[in-house]
Amino acid sequence: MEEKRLSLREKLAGLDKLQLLPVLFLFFLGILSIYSAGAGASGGGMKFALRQLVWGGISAAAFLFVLHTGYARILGAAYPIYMGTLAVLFSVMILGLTVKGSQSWLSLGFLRFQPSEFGKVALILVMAKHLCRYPPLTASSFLSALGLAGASGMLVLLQPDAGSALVYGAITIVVVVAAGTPWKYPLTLGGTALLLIPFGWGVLKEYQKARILVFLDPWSDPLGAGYNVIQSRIAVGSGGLLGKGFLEGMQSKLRFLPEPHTDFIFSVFSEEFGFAGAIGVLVLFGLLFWRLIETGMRTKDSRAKVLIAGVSAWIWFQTAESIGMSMGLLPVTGLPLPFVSYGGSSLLSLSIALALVQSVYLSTLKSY
Amino acid sequence: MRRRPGFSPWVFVFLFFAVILWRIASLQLFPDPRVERQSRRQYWSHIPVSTNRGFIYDRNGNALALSIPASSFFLDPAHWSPSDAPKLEGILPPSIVKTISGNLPGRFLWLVRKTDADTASRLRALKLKGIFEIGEKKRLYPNKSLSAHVLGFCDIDDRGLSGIELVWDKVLYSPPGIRILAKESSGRTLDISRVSENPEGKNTGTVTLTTDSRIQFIVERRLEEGVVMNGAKWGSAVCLDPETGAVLAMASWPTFDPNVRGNMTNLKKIINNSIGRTFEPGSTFKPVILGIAIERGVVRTNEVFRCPYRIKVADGSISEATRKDYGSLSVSEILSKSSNTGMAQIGMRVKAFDMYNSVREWGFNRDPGIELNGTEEGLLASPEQWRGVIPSNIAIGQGLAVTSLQMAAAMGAIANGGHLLRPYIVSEVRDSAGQVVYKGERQLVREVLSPWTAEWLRTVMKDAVKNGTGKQADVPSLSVAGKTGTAQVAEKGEYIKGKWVASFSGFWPSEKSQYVLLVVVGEPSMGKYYGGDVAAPVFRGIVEDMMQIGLLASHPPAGGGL
Repeated sequence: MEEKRLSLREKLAGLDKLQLLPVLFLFFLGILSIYSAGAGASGGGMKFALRQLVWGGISAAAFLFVLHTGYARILGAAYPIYMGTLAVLFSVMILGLTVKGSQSWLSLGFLRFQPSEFGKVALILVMAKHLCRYPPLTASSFLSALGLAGASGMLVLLQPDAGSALVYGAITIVVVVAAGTPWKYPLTLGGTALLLIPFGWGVLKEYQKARILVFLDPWSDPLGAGYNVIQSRIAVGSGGLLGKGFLEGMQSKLRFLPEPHTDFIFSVFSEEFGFAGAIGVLVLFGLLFWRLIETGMRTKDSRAKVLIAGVSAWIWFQTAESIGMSMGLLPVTGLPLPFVSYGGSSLLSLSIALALVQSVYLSTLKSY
Repeated sequence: MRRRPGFSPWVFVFLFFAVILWRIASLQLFPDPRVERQSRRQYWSHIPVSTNRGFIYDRNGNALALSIPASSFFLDPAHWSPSDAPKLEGILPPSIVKTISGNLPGRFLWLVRKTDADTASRLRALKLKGIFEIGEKKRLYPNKSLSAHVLGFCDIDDRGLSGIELVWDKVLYSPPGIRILAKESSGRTLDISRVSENPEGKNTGTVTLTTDSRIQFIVERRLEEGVVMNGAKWGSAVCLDPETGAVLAMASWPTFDPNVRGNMTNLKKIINNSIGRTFEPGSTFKPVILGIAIERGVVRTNEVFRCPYRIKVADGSISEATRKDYGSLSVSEILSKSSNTGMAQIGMRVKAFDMYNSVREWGFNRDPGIELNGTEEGLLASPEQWRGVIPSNIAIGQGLAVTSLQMAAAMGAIANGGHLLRPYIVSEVRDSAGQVVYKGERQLVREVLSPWTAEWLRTVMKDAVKNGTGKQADVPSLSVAGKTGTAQVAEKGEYIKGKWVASFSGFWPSEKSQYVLLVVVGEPSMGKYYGGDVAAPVFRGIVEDMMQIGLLASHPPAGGGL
């Protein structure tokens, strides 16, 4: 591979700065919001913010490591990585810690992490490799790709972590489409899913049904299932044009917002920084997506294109869901807002993914 | 892949951005009014807490009920970790500890209201997260059970539930103050130290009673002594000023401490036997009957009646309590020796309808009009039902039921020359602005006796104490007039053997009375049951104690009683 000739310093010099900048901004806005979310009577804000900074450092190291290794080499090991991930996801079901009803954590003694976050990277890698080796142009290859992706998705769903499983699903559909599958296959799949909705209702757990019902009308149960939705709307809504100011948001300080530093971080942020701040966050994400897609279109490597499609789908889906949920646009799932929410596993795996994309970007620089 | 136009991924991204933008704009720039309302409400979490409740004073200005600061504690489940719950064992009731050991919904839960200083300091010392203290006002009855039945009590929110507290709640109650949970907009602390005083809340109304705590104390103590000594089930005593009708003391046994909330479910204790319990008066009622007969002109005071041990009346008979034949007795002797057969003959001279009307004119079987709740009117069958032995029974105070207060008021009419006065216990009520909104004063209900008849009855009743059945009520240095009563207790239309109500009603000094006192001891069980043996000593004890503290020459008139 040609990019190996570049030193790490040269690679850093050639990075896509426009892609890196919004991510760094988002990360630091996240640190502020995490601190603010825990700054109330409940405390813990400084603790979480410091921890997130440490995770930021670890993530930066991982970023450099992946960048140095190069995406092509890592893609070469995609199958073993994916198999390893499946094994870890499987072991989580047996050894994992149960946090908030979901057995999705592995403890290494000094730190805990969520394998399902790293699984997203592994899934993208294996799909990039697999879909280019066996393009999903026929029904059988389409289904075999789905089957390969479904293995990890299924394990996540069984944890149970429906939110992450949705991300897996979104990634899978996008990469398959990006790999050039005929439209009829995903459309047939979507149609079948639609037809199954009435039956699917029965499969849902009570709290999941409640979440969907309060999504339709949160005031139907304002103190129960609708509580989060309403409190989040209050937080966003009370921000107004310019917000209440840093550390002035009461919804999080007074513990009205549940999970303020993780799932509802966007609500914390928009309460304090208002409409202007929220638009700012959207602009940063917009910039990021533009750069991701730009890189995807520049590269001639079809594996890289699929890879970037997967990473974009991942970040896009979580961003849409996390922001949408905090404004009552989508049902509550509990997905972190990429780069902003507190959570080491999420930050670390996103950094790895971005390093892969940057690595692809570097490869496009040398191609002329 | 080449088939895909380059902009296609942007479509999704833009679509998402457009929706989010629209949503943020609608949420932040045009917020839902419900959201606004909810947010306003929840930052300023309003907790109503008790503020000053109006004081209640006796006639001498002693506070009988007042408001003192007290600590209440509440829990905010959002800041609470249930693993702290075991630390509260022994401080809070087990049921509360159990409740807070699990996950709790909501943001507010009272742990303990208006607690004592010890519990408060122990809770404070724990410094547990999620437990907050709030200052409130607590009703305190400094004299504990003194006047408990008159004063009544309040619920935990300081609303009156009985007695003066209930009847005058409108004046005594002041709306709860609002404590604000999280006032600071920085929200860093839960500021609960500030009280938003309601503007009118600083002053409260006051109620001043006509009672005299010294007399009340004596009456309660002597009554309890008499009740306990005789193993009685209940007792009551009422002391009135015969000139005004003002209640100087009103006691009921069993009694309770209104500071202890647990007492308030015991109905036997909280009933005010002076106004809420009726009994057949027995011989105590005879002066009333005699007064009615004389005023109606059916008997002359110089008549003489043959009083055998037993006389037959219609379907039944009337017999003497002492089981002896008195021979011939004058009208005054009939009263002082309390002859049943003599009284029956006198009573039967009055026509049933006349007797019925007169008894009611004396205030029986009527609302006494006192400023208290839970008053009974008594029982008196309508005259159509007065068949057979009934009229003669009524004449000896059986077959009708009265309350202690009614009996005392009737005695007052004899003592003061024939004026039946409305008994009253509230001398003055002021609202929160200090305006007098009620004044209790002498109120004539009816002239029930001519001065001459009243004078004559007083003389006879004085003799009843000096030489008759009421000897044990006599105080040598004083001229006491009175009448004993020993009545049988009826249950389901039958008189029960061995169940009696012993009473003594009287007044002193007999020439120009300052005090009327009625003592009732219900269902004594230690052998003695005559009013002369059971109630008269209580009466005498009260009179002596009052003399001892100098309460004879004069007592200060009640505020509104002039």
